[in-house]
Amino acid sequence: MTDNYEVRDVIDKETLSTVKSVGDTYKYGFSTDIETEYAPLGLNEDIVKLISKKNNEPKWMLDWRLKAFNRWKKLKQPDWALLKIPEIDFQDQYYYARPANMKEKPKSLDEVDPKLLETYSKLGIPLTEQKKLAGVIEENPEDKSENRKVAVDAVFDSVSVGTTFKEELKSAGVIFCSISEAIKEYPDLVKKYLGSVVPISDNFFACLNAAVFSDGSFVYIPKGVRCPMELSTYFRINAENTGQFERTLIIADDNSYVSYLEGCTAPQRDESQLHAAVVELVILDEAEIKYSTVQNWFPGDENGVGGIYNFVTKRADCRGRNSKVMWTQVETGSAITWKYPSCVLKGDNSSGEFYSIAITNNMQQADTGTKMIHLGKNTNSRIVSKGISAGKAQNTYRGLVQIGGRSQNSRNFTQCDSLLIGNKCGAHTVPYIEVNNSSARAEHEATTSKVDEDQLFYCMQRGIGEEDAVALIVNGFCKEVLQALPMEFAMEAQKLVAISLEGSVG
Amino acid sequence: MLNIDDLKVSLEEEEKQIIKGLSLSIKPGEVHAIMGPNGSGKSTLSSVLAGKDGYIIDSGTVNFDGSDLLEAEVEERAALGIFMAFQYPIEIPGVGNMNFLRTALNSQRKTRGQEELNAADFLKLVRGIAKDLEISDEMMKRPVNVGASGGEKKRNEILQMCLLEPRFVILDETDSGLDVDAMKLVSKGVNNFSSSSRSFLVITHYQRLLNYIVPDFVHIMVDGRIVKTGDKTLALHVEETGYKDFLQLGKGKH
Amino acid sequence: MIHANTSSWYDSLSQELKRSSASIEKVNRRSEYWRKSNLDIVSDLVQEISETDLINLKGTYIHEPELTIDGDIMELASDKSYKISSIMDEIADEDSFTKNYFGKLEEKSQKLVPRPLARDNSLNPKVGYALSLSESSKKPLVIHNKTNKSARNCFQRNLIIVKKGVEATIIETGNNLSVFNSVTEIYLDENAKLNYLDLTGENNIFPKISHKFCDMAEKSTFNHFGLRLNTKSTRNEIELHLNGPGINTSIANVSLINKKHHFSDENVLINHNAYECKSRQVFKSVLENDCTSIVRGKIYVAPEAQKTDGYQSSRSLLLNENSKFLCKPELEIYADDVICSHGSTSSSLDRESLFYLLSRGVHRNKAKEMLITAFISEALDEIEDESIKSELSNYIDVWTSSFFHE
Repeated sequence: MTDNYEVRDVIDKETLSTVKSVGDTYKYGFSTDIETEYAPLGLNEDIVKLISKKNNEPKWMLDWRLKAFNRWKKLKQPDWALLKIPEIDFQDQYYYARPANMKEKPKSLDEVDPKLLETYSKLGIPLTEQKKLAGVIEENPEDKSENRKVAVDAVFDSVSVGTTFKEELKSAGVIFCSISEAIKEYPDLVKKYLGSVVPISDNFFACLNAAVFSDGSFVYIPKGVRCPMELSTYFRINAENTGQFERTLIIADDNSYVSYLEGCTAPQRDESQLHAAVVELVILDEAEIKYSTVQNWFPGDENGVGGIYNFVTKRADCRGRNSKVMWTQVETGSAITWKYPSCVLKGDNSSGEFYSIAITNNMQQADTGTKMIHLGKNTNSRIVSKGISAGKAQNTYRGLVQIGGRSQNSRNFTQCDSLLIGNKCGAHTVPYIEVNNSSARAEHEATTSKVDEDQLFYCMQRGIGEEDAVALIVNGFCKEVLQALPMEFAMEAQKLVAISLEGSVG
Repeated sequence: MLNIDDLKVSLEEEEKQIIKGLSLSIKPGEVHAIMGPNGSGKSTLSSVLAGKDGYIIDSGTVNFDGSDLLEAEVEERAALGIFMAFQYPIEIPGVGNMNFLRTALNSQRKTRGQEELNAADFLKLVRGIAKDLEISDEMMKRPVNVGASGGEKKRNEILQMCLLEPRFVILDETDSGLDVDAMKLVSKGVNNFSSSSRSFLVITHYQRLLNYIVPDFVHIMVDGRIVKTGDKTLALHVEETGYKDFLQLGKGKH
Repeated sequence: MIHANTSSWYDSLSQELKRSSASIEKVNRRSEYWRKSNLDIVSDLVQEISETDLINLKGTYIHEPELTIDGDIMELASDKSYKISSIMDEIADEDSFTKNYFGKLEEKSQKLVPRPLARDNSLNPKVGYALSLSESSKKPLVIHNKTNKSARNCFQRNLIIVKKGVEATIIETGNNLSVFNSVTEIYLDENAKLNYLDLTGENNIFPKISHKFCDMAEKSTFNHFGLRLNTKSTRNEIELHLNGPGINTSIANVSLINKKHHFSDENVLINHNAYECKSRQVFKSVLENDCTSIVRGKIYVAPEAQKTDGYQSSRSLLLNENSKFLCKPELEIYADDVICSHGSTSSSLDRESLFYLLSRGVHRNKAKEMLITAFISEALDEIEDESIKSELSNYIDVWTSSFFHE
C-alpha cells in the first residue's frame, strides 16, 4: 500500500505503480523446511545452562556465561532518542534452536543435511571446496575472478554448519573454526582473549550475548603469517521467533594479516527477530585485520512488519605498534540497526579505518556509526560514512572521535554524507568530537543532499530508466566505500544498493 | 660571508643522516649553484640554513659573518640578512599580503635597531617593486599566496626579497614549475638585486635557470656531500650527461 | 524599584509554567546537553562580590549607552530614541504589550532540548528590559552592563520585538556579575532585521548562563555575534525558529580563552520550519592554559523546509597540550531538497605557516598573533557593519597580543 508520497513532476504515476515493494524483491525471503530443535521459550539460568551443555562446554565457559546473565538481569534496555524500538519481550523468544540432525557436529560437509547445503547454494554461497581441476584449469593466484578461494564457515541458526578449506589453512598455521569448537580445542587462546575487547559489562546487548551466545567464528593468525585466503562467515537465521547471538573472535598475532568477510540473510517472517552479536578483534604488533560486512537481514515489509532487529557490538583493539584495522560495511537490511564498529587505538602508530554504507527504505531505522578512541601516539583514524534514506526511513550516523590527553600527533579525518530520497524520510548526524590534546588534528565534514535532478535527467535522457538512474547515482555517491570492499562483496553490494532502493523513487 | 665546515645533519624523526660532511665557503658578491639528483640532500641543506625544525645537527659548524648561525632563531637569522625563497611557498589564508610584508619589514628593522617605516613610505616602496615584477594590485590585496598560481607565488617570493634586502639569498629550486617567461621575470628580479656585497646560493635540479642567473661556482651534491666543484661549464656538462658520473664519486668519498 | 506586584496574566502564565516544569529534565552530568560541560552554574551561587572581582571588567566597545543595567537597577538614558521599558514594570501591567509574547518562546524551546534554567528564569525575573522597535536606525542601540555589589544571583529577563520591515542593531557590553542567568526572547516580524552583538562577559569569573530564543517571520534576518574573552564559565544557549520562507540568519562566536581551566560553552539550535531559509553557524575558539571549549551546534530541518541551506563550521586552535575542544555538530533532517553541511576541525598553530612568517623575520609572538587573527577572521566576517567590525578587530588584536607570555 503506497502512502501519499509527494510525486515529483518528472515521474509519472505508472512508474510508481509498477514498482514492487521491498517485501517481494527480498529474494532471500524463502525459508528452509527442516526439523529444528528448540530450547524452551524464555530466558533464565536453566536456558543458559542448557546452551552450555548442548555445546559441551567446559565449566569455565559456563561460569562466564552465568556471570554475564546475572549481570544482565540488573540492566535496562538502552533508550536512544532517534530510534523507535518497540518493547522487546525478552522472555518471549527462543534462545536456542538447532537443526535436529545436527545433534552431533558433522565431521565433513558430506554429513550435512543436503537441505542446508541447498539453502546456501540458493544464497550463492559456495560450500563445496573448489578443488583444482587438475590439468584442466591452471589456477592463477593473481586472478581475482571466481577462482579465488574463500574459506567459508557457514552458520545456520547460530550453529556452525561447516567450515571449508580447514586443512589448507591449518598447514599455514591459521585456525579458522567455529567458536564452540575453539572453546574445546584451543581453550587457552579463547580464555586469554574472549571478553577482553568487549567485556561483559560493556552494554546491555553485549551482556545478553555473553550469556546466551551459541556459536560464531574463531580465527587465530599466528605470528608472521599472511592468511593465504579470505575467510568468510555466512550467517543465516532460519528458525522462527529465535534470537540470534553470535560471538566472533579474531586474533591477529604479530606481523600477521587477515581479510575477513561476514554476510547475513534471514527469511521473511511476520514477527521481528532479535540479532545481538558481538565481534571482538585483537590486533598485535605490525598486524592487520580487514573486516567486511554485507548485511542484508530481512528489513520488514513496507509497513514495517517483521524484520530483524540488529544490535551489534563490534570492536577492534589495536594493541600493537603499527597495528591496523579496517571496518567496511554495507548495511541494507534489518528493521532496526544499532551498531558502532569501533577501534581502540592503543598501540603507537596504529590506525583505524571505517567505511560504511547504510541504506534505509520504507520503515527501516538505522542508528549506526563508529567510535575511534585514540590513546597511543601518532595514531590515525579515517571515517567515511554514506547514509541513504528513502521511504519513511530514519537513518542516523552517530560517531565519536575521542583523542586522549596523551595521544600526541594523532590525526582523524571524518566524512559523513547523507542522501535523502523523498520527503518522508530523515537523515541525521550526531557526531561527537572530543580533542584533549593540542598536537592532534581532527577534521570532520558532513554534507546532506538529495539525488541531483540534473544528474537524474541526464541519465534518463540517455535512455536509463529512472530507478536504474537513481541506483547509478547512489552507487557513485558510495563509490569511496564500495572501493574499500573486497571485490566479490563490492559486486554484491552494488546489486544490493539497487534492490534496497526499489520503490524509493517518488 | 658564509662558511660551512664539515656539516653532518640527520632527520629527527627517522634517525637517518642526510648531510654527511658538507663544506662550503661563500664570499660576498658570489653566486654559487648547487645541483644534484633527488635525495642528495639539497633541500635539507637549505632548510637547515633557514632554521627549520625537524633536523638534528650531528656535527660541524655554520658560520655567518663571524657568528654561529646554528645558534640563532629563525627570525634572528632573517634579521641578520638571510632570505630563503621557498620551493613551495605556502598559502596563509586570512593574513593579508600587505600586512604581512609590512610586519616582516618592520620586525626586521626593529631587531636591527632601525626605525620602522611609516605606512605611506612603505606603500610607495612596495608598489614600485611590485610593478617591476608585474605583480598586480589585486594580488597584493589578497591573503598571502592564496589563489596564486605557481608563477605568481615565486614572483611574490622575489618581491619579498627585494623588499627585505637580505645579504644572503638562498633560492630553493625557484625554477621548479615555472615556464620560460616566469623564469625570465624571476631571474631579472634576482639579477637586478645582486651586488658585490650580496651572495646567492642557487639550488637547482636543472641547468636552465643558470643561463639567466649565471653562477661563479657550481657544486654537485650527491648523497649528502659535495663531490665536485667547478665553474658554470660544469652545469652544462651535467645537462648533457646527467648525474650518473657523479654518483660513483659520492660513494667513494667518506 | 522592587516589584511585589505582578499582573494576572503573568500569574496565570507562571502557574502554567510551574506545572509543566516537572517534565523538564534537570541539569545532570549524564544529559546529552550537559556532558563534559562545566556545572558550576548549577551549584556555585555567588556569595559576595569583592573589589578585586570588579577589576578588568570594563569590557569592549565603549560607546554611549541607551540603557545601563547596574546590578538589578535599570538606568535609561535621558535621550530616549527607543521605546525601552523595565520588564518588571511590564509584568505588573495588566495591559502590557509583552502580554502575548512573554514566556512563549521559552516554552517552545523546551520541546527539543530541556532548558531547566530558562524555566527558572521565567518564574522569577528580577531585572530586564522590554523593547519594541518600530523604526529603523543605523545607530546601534548600546546596552551597557555594570555590577552592583549589593545585588546578587539575579535572573535577568528581556524581550525584544522588531516590527515589520524595521532594521536595527543592538550591542550589549560590559559585565553584570549580579546576574547569573539571563533569558532574552526575540520576535522578528516580516522583513525585520536585527543585528545583535553580545560583547559581555570579558574576564567574568562567576558562572553565567545566557539564553536567547528567537522567533522569525518570513524574510526576516537575525545576525548574532558573540565574543567570549576569558570567561571562566559562561554558557550560551541560542535557539531559533525559522517560521516563514526566505529567512536568513547567522550565528557567529569567537572565544579566546587563556586563563587556567576556563570554559566556553556554546549551544545553538536552529529550527528550519519553512522553505528556502538560510542559516550559518561559525564558531572559532582559541585556547591556551588548559582551557576547554565546547560547541554543540544543531540544525533541525522539518519536512516542509525544502531548499534549506544550512552551514556550520566550528574550528578550534589549541595552543597548549591540555586544552580541550569538544564538539557535537548535529544534523536532524526530514526534507530531501536541502544543502546542509557542517565542518569541524581542531588543531594547533600550523607549523608551516609559522615557519614562513618567522623566516621573513617576523618575531615569534607576533607571528602567532597574526595566525590567530587570521584564524578568527572568518567569524568576524559575519559582522556586516564595517566600522563595528574594524573596531572589534582592533580590540581583539590588542587582546591576542597579551595571549602569549614571554
